[in-house]
Amino acid sequence: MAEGLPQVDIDLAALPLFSVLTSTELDAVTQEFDEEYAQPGERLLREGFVGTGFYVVISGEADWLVGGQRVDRSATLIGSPPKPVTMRRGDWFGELSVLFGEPSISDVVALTSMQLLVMPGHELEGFLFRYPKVMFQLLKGDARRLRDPERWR
Amino acid sequence: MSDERTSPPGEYPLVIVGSGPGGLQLSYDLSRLGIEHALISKDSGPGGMFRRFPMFGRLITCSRPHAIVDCGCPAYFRYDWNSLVTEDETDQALVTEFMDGDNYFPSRAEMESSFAAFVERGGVDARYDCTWESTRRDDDGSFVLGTSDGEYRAKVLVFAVGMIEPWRPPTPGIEDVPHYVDIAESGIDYLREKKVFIIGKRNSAFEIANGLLAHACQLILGSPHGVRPSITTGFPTAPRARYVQPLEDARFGGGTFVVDVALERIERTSDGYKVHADGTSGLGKVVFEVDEVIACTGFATGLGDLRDLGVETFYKDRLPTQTPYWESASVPGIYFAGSAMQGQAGMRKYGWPSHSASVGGFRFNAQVQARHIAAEHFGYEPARPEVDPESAVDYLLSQATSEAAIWSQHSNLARKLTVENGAVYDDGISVLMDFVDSSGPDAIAITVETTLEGEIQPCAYVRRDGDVREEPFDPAWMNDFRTEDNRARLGEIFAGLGG
Repeated sequence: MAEGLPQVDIDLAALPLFSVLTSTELDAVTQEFDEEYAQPGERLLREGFVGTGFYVVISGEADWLVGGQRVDRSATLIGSPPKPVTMRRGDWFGELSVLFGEPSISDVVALTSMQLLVMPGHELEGFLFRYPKVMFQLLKGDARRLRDPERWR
Repeated sequence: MSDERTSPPGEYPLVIVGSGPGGLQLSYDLSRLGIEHALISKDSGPGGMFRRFPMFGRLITCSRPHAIVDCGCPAYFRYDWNSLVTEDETDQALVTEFMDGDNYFPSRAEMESSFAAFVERGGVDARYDCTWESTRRDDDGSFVLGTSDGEYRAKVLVFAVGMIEPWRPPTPGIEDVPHYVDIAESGIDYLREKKVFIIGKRNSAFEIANGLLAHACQLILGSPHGVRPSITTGFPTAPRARYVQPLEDARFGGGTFVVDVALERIERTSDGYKVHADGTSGLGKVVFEVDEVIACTGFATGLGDLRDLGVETFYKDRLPTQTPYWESASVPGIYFAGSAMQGQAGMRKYGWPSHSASVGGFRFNAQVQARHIAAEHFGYEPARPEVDPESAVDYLLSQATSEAAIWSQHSNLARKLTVENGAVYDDGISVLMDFVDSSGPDAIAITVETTLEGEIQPCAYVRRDGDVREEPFDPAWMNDFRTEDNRARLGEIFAGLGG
């Protein structure tokens, strides 16, 4: 058998965003998302574009760029060495642009082959109200990024 | 007795596998570009899945017999989602030509007749009754297809094999339940006066339910996710309007139930099935006792042994991973046509998926893909007609108003004009995600998009000095975007290019 893209068990329960859901809720949540593949170099979020979606990384890695430059989340911490952000399994992105209804302020570019869950942006608000436990997880995750930008993963 | 079929085994620059609409359209388009190829098919005639499906005889997509534009002109294809596209009117085999005039959804048989006429008029040669059995790669990089007729060698392969293999989730007991595909073979007589549980709420589930309204005594459609019909979302979600009758029956208490449940297991009993489930909207656990169960749980691409060659898949192994030009992301030289093209999801602007799962979308993908394959692998240099700069703005707005490829593939295909050395070149219908993510000279690609408010509006993607930005335009009455305001604004944008 040739080496191919690993067939990742999506297993939402293992992802922090969804780990608080029951198995029945997980079954329903799985169908709220589409699955998407991205090849290395593909842009998943495009800076300045509206009408974007909400993504959850299932496998692979992505870079986060602003103005074409890799985001250095620790740049604001005096004395900290630069540590660019790489998004990996379990991370999510796109929610801020969707929730603010504004163009994306960053590019997200696949570094490797990726598998992702994607939800159309306009469905995110309703989804979060249907699953407030997920909304709380998302809030905690985004708050953690604010509190500790160097270790936001 | 000699075999007089076309395209015998041997070496070809390119081989297409599959004679459904995806394979036929690509073969036609490659031939017009002068690319020699063989088209092989396990079927005994053209049509692919339309030789068997849809089960209840009529499609979900329309072909409007009387449109606001003349039948057969390029703009007409916006109103006809099912005909294959030809560049020469003498080749045309419009589905409406074969429709009986009683319905604007063509029947399966009418589709099949249209494809047969397309093959004949367009000179599409296919070798039928030739089954693809194996695939390998030689040391020189050529692909070798083992078939029931012998070996084919080619530098480039295109698989237009449809997405009709039954797929089931790993629910215990579901393996003993007939799939949608099995019902197409067996027919529905055995379901008469039965209580039937249909697993799924996509279009195939609602198609079956719609067809069984007059046969079954009780219908239950169950899956974890709630129903979001296209007529309420404004998006092409399931069920489409064609199949909403069971939903109305459920809302009116007529013997159909549409339930949100996660299935735990399916138990075979002496006289039927017990479907063990848990409500996803808070109603708790439940056991449905029914006579029959049907799995309408989706389909997978028939990839044969391509995974062994390194073809990667996703979507629970149901679709091959693809580049913007529908080439395997892991095995260059292998392409996909037809409904498997939905593996390239496009821009997903405002949540709109690509329209590549159906003929209406992938027929236009094929034209773009043919040009790409010809250029990448066979040295073809696409024509780049020069456009009078004075008329470029009107041309772009006319394209947004009436170009069928753009209307069929919102946010995914676009008309591209490039500005170089003071001249404007028409680079044809292009893949939008490739345009916005590549570098190059100043250019504009125009498409149409449907906003969250349901408004259809043109959007110009403008590349200037290497950066691409989007310029959405306002909607217009009757979707005619050739307004004075749009002319003025697009003219201003256009004037800034190529400086």
